[in-house]
Amino acid sequence: MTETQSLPPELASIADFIRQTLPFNALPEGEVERIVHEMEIGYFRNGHVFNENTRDQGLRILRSGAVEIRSQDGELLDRLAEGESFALSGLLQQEPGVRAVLIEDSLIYFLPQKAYQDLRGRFRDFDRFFHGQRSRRLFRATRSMVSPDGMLTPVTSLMATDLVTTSEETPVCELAEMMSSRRVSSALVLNDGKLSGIVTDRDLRSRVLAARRSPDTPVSEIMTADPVSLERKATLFDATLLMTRHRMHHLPVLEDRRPVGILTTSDLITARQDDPVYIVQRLSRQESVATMQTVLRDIPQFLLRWTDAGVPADQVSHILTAISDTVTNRLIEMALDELGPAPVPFAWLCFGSQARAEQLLNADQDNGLVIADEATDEDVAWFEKLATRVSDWLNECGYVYCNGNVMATNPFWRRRLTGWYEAVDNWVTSFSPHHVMEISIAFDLRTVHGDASLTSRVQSHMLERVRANSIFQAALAENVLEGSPPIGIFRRFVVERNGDHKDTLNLKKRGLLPIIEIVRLHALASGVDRINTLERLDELARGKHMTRYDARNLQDALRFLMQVRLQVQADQIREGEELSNYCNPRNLPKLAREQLRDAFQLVDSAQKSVRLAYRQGMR
Amino acid sequence: MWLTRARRERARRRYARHPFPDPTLQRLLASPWPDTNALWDEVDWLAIDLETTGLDPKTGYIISFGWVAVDRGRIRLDTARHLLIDSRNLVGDSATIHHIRDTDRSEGVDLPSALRMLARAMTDRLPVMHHAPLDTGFLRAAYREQFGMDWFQPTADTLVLEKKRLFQREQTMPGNVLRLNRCRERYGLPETNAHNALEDALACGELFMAWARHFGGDGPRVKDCLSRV
Repeated sequence: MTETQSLPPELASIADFIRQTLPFNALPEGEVERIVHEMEIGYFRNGHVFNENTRDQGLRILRSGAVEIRSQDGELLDRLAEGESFALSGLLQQEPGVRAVLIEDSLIYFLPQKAYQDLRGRFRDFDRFFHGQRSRRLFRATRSMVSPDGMLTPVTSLMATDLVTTSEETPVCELAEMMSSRRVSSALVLNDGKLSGIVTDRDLRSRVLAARRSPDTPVSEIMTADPVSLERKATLFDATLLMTRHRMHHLPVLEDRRPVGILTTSDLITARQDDPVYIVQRLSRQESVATMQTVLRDIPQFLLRWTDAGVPADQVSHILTAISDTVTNRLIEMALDELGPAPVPFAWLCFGSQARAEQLLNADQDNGLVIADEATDEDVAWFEKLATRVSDWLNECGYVYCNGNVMATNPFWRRRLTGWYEAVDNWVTSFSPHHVMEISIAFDLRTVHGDASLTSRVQSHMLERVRANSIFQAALAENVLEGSPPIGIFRRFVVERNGDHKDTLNLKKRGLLPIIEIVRLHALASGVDRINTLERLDELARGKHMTRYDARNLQDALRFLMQVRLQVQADQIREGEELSNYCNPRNLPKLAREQLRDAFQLVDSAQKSVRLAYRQGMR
Repeated sequence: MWLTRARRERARRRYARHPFPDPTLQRLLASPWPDTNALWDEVDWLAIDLETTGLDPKTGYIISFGWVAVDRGRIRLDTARHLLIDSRNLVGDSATIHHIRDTDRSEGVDLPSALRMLARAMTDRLPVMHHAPLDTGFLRAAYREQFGMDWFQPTADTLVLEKKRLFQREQTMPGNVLRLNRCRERYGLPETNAHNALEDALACGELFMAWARHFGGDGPRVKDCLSRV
């Protein structure tokens, strides 16, 4: 027997401990046992400092005790407890002068730099974990998701770019020649380089030949002016949605109002697999509530398929929202068929998560109506009928009545345009805390059907009034600060103490809503007119109302929380349980649990910055 | 301590004149007396634990050895060893207490090999044990029996050190207060699964470090650590 014998199995207790910590739990079998040999154990007193001058750099894992990571200026960056680890060399690269100060007597397992770097070199997940501190960790988690399926790829991947363009004065015969020689079915009409119209084969047939017009007719007379178009960054899904809704086969793709490509129905058919678009299309063709229900019944199963295929949560929400939109649209059309056309222009609004395109299953309905000012009292009464019809049908389709009665059936949410102005003025001048919470949902609004210009006028009025009113902003801020993220000292989760949801935490209430509300507040205060939370953050960063760093962090936290919630709901569907937003952190994989903590901590710091920013108006 | 030193010096002189036939053991015997004024984390230690049958070296046997080095203030896990002694004579309740089953024993080493390996590990290191008299008694008997060698090394005993510390602070001492896990608890060290020689050696090494870090000032000097025998 020699001294180079294998490691005593009794170090297994150390290996067991390490294997349970992050990110060692992700290492392949046998790796932890191997590195245990290279480790050292040290004991240090409360107050001991590790800094750039510490002789040995490497990874330190807390076996017991606690440590604070502080910046050069003494600012607390992180607090780590048993089972957590830090590598000063890495932290120093990001944050010169950073130090680790023990705040309890601690027993520390030390992995020397060489072995630590070796692991990082060989295992990607392990490396990622240490590639920066918590926000980076989370950033990585959300970015490494599986790439979205075909329908979520940008239109640019499929559009044709060799465009046939022409001017408004060109005679149709010339254009027809051009189109046949280039073998295309459509041509774009430009005015000063910008898109002014579109001409398709069908237009030549029906508007020229069938109408017996002269071949010399200028294109401007037969073209479809100001055609529906897409922005460059739109997805194939968006494209299909537009085509279905407007019953068109050609979609110009624009960048700064200049055409860069064109997308046709057949392009899309080739890209279509077993995808959400199909459902949306089917829904838009249903003639009765009953058949619509049949289509909707399969949605949970589809949701499972999307999550399994790795479609990110924000995209799943996007799809589910599109489905709600389609259902609502179709029901409104059905109601209009029954009641006859609307007497005056109107906009059917959705509020809250549907407006933000952040819906999940089991969303209730939050809607309203903006009616053009010329409506007589009789006309307004007509809209009550419309509202009732649509709201009842929505309920039958599974979008249950709103608890808070935020529905177009409620006259409070069904007004003439000027009525909305008055309401908004009222909200921002005389409010109570309860009231603020109730109406804050209305600041996330979007047109589902009808005249979108009515909605945007309501929205700009809102932005104007809120932006000018720091007292109201402070009231919103107080509302935002109401709930604190469920993280206690030493980053332990604070779970529900009793009741049906004992030992769980409410992801929506404690994580998602605080982010959404914080972002809404910033958006309103900065006059950002986006509604989707991720887009609001983009816009806030672009307008320098928020640092790009903070915006990214919140986006990552939001994406991650959405992802966990989606996963929780997918599991609930699988188990046949009732859907909820409750999650038991113990049921999460260790890495996800850690990331959840990170996400909550970001929410916490975002709340703190709200407190600072809006403090002035607060009581 | 002077007694240990005297015995040890006598043995050293004897072995200097007649080198011990086994070079490993000779190196241990020839190693110099430590600088007792050095700080504890300027020298190297070896935390050792033995599992034995019974408490008396005359009738009992060593079942297993566990040790790990505490070099310059830190435990080096690459030095950790756990040796089960392959002996047909193992009997009695001790084997049950120590969770040693026949299957464990089948992979053991014989006692002389184990003692040689321990000697090599102890060379240029100072032994640390929890409740040392028991273990040193067994070791001394074993070295004498197997090699005819007198083994005397100055030793630190965490039980004695901890007792001294508590006594200085004039605490009343209820029973069990010096048990390894109870001592560890006072320093915020995690509880260990007792009765495995290596884990106990590790636990003892960690306790030793914790004790030293709580000593105050620059930490204890070597002479503050070593026991009187």
